[in-house]
Amino acid sequence: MSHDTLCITWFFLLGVLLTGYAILDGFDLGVGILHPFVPRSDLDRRVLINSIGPLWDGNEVWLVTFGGAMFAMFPEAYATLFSGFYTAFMALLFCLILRAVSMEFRGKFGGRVWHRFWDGAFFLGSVGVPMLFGVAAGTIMLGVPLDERGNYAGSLAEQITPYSLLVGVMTVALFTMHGSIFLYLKTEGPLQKRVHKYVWRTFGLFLVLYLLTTMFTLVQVPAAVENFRVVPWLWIVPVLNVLAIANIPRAIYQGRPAYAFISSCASIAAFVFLFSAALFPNMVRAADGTSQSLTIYLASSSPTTLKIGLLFVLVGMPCVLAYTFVVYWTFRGKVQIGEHSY
Amino acid sequence: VVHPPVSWNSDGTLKVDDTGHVAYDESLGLRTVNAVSPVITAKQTLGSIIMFGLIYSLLFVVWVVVLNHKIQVGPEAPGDHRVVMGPHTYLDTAARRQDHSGSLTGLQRETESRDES
Repeated sequence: MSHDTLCITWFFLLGVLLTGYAILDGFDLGVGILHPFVPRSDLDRRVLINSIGPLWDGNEVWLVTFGGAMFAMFPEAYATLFSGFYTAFMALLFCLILRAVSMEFRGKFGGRVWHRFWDGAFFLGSVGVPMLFGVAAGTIMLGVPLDERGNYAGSLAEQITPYSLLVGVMTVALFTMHGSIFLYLKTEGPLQKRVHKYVWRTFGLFLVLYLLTTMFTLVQVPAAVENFRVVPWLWIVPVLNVLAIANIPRAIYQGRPAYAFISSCASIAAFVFLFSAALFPNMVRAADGTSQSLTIYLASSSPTTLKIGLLFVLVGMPCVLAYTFVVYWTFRGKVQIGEHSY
Repeated sequence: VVHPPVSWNSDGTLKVDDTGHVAYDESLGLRTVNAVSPVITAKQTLGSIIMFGLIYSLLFVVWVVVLNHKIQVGPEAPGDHRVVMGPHTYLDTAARRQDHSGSLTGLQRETESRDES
């Protein structure tokens, strides 16, 4: 394989890891956002937390592998992004740790104040993560200021623009909807009826933000559609995305939550694809044009490293998929609260 | 790419000095001072150290409290065990298996009567 082919392969694999992360952690972040609003009793609340209890930490491993793969295969881009977005990254870690700690500690004691505190922390962490991811994605879409060595040359304030905030809020809405559909799948009885209302509400909110973001992107970020002009068949993905989004209310109306969940998974995959297609061939696009941009070819490791990495994927990926399948199979069906639940 | 600060002869062996030791050339290495991310400020680093310091201090306090709570409550008394586990002891579970239903020395009837009482 030539170096270029290896780079493209790895760019694609990073996209796969990001898609896996967004789909899987997406729903458990969504459940975290919904959990102060949907339940009426402490038992309901526990059902919500236990719906993601055995799954969320496995889901977050996809983010770790994404970071690890980027570090090994595209170290230049990793160095630029992780140092340029240092503050955002620390905030992200804070939110992720806060979520994990909240789930573990909430059930340790029975006090009302204790529960309220960790519920609040769990909610804040769950909102913060998709918000930060969305803002970062929006900023990267717009392009970031880079110096001649490929280092980030802007300020923290430049990472927060109206567009990036809009993408951030849309990501929160997307994951909230995704989480509500997941809950619709995992709950039963009166709780499921209440979740059903939230599916519609969150879908409506997401739809409005999706339309706004799409219009904003087409008007304000011309670079995002550059590749679509060169390779017109790429338009099939946004079209499929619209169909997937349109299928969500249809499936919910028909009372088929699994079908709706698959649709929202497909929609998230389409968003990651669109993001990657808009960036390609850049890992980090320079704000002032393409001269300083870190392309996948410039930012990559040596061909030997890329090849060895592929061997690891060949061995590791089947293990990850098998593990994921076994865990989801074990905890299939409606949530049951038992002695060892959260 | 970062190599150790040594140089090689044309035949691929390490260059050694007169005493037979490997010759180090500082200018070839990457010094710590040159290895830091140039765009991260001292304030940001301090901020993250404080953040992780607070998180881990909090976790330490919670850990001590939870551990203390566990010690104060203590383990379940052995006698209580059967009552707490109810119908979930191994024999009961075996008795409840459909293909052995009622066949394991009548344990299931016992369990049921205990459940009712």
